[in-house]
Amino acid sequence: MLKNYTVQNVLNNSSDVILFISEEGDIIWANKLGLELFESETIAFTDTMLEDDIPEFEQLLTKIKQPKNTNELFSCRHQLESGITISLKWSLGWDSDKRYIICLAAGGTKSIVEEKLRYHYIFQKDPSPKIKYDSKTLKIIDLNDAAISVYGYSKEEFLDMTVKDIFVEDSVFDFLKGQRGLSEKHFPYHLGVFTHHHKDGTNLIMDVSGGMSSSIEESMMLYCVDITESHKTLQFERLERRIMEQAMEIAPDLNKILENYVLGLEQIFPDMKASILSVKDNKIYNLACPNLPQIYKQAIEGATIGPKGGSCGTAAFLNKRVIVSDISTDPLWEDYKALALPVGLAACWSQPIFNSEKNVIATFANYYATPRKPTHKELLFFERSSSLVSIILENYRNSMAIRSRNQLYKYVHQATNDAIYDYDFINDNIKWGQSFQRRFGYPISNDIYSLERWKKIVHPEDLTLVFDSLNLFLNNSSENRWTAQYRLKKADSTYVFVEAMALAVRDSEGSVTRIIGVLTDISEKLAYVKTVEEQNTRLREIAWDQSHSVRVPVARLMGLIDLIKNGNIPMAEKEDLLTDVLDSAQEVDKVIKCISLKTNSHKETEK
Amino acid sequence: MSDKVLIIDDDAVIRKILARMLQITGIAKEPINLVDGLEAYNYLISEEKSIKYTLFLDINMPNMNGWQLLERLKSENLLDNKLIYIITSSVDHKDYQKAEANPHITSVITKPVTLAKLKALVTK
Repeated sequence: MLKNYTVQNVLNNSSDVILFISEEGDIIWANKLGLELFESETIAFTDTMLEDDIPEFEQLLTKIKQPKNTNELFSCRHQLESGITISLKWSLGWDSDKRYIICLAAGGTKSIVEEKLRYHYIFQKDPSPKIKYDSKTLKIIDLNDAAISVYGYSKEEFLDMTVKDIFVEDSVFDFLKGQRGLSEKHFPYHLGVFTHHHKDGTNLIMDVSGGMSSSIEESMMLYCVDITESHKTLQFERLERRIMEQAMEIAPDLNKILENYVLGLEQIFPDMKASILSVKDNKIYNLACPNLPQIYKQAIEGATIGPKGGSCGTAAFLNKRVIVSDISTDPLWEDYKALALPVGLAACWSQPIFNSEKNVIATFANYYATPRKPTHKELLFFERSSSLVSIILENYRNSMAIRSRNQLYKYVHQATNDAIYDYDFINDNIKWGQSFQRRFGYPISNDIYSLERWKKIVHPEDLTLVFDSLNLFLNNSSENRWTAQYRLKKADSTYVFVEAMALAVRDSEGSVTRIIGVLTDISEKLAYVKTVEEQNTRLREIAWDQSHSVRVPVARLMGLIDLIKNGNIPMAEKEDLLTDVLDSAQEVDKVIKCISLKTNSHKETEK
Repeated sequence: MSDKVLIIDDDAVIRKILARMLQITGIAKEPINLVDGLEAYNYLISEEKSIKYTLFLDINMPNMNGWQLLERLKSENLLDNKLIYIITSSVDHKDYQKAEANPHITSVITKPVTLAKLKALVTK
């Protein structure tokens, strides 16, 4: 085409596009940049143009061949193979000898093209969705490959939509409000996190920024980052934290916590319904399944676990996870599918929950409305949810046990009149039970109560004996129990007799670390014992006195009778002795009356 | 038997019964009645030491009881030539233990005194 090698070389390496076009409009030669741009020498030049621009060019083809009219200027838009559109200003010249048109794209075409291509690749091949829309009509006018991949709509479907259509209803208002100021933003401006529609009906969580589009005026660009998975993970972790906080409360409401957890999971995974069943005596019971159909819950309540017990009954029976991806065909659901399928339960994955003794105490299950196998990610969420349920149940069991023990401790403190104490030997601090105040009048506080403070309320005369005994006990590593009796000063400065009984907790070396014991007020007991002993002495004296008093006349009587009966004595003497008999009998009577009188007087004293 | 038999008891009826029974059983024709330990002591120290006595001695008596009398006699070496029977209505086992431990006491007769018990003494 060009015989002059130097000229050809100059044209070939020009930074402008140079084409030679036949009278018919076909490209018959292109320099390097031209080839790069249009990728072929043999196509028709009009094939690269947008349709709207072709008529003007065809008019020019006729016009330029007229005499004395060898040069024309022409602007048109070209659709390149890569899909991008560029606007070029052409200078056209007619070579009447060679009969072709020389076309030269003026003004640094190379840099325009390069910039255009760079923009194209940044836009089109960006891994995050980018959606260009008309700022007035909100109609989508362009989008990149990632948008198609993430949202599931085809390009044609997108181009029929407005940008509002990709936002869920609740998000539209916030988006419209935020995007009003975008026309002033030359750089992407963060609009927030929005929920978008996926074509399959699920939701996408998108972190959205927006700004002016650089290529076409009055168009805007949305830069979207799909954070659906990370958002779920974040929500999941937040839910876990919230539930754990509830579970750690002093008196947790187990049913409420589990129900909150299930509801929270269902909010994060809207196409899933969760269920927690308790397992007792080989039967399953609904524990937390707020959104399972009532009729289904009633039907499975109290069902026996077994090798074909649906997902949960089988998982509890086999002690292992059961994934049923299609209830309608799985043999494990043969006996239960008639219950599940009509209420829209098509898949069920179940995980047994064990207590610390490795017994199944519950099952955690996820139900889906369509047949479904878990993805790797879903399985991870499923396993993690099951673990949390297990922790909640175990924690609840433990906290109930602790609560019961605490209640017992509290009631013992309330019920007993003994002052219970817990002496932290290492930190020299005694914690007193409530009865210390009730019994001895000292107020209970959280202040440190040292052994020295205790010494101050022990009677000075008893102090040495008591604490010598205590020290002996502390230093005898084989001894764990200690008792002592002493006088203790009450808050009102009066003294009472107390008995201290203690149990020492020793470390592996035998040193005391803790002493737990009771102080019992034994004043009344001692007084009572003293009274009883005094009464016994008195009663013994009475008994002795009375027995002797009775015996004397009785012995006399018996002697008299023996003499009368066996003494072979004259009648007159017998009659004399009978007088003595009568006197003695009267004395016996007198003594008995006296005993009766004294006994009654003793009873009165007791009262 | 002894030269003299003493009945030492504060109970007049007992003295009467015992004296009569001693006569019937032949232990003493005329036993001497003394009302308590003090009277007995005064009687004994006024008599010849060589006389043999049999004492029927009550324990519980006013002024000087039976034990006090025995102590007094012992301290004054007046227990020789004396056969001593304790007659008592006591139910206190300590009195019996004390009597058993005393080598000067022949035996303890628990009241009531009966002819059979006295006859048994003669048989011994």
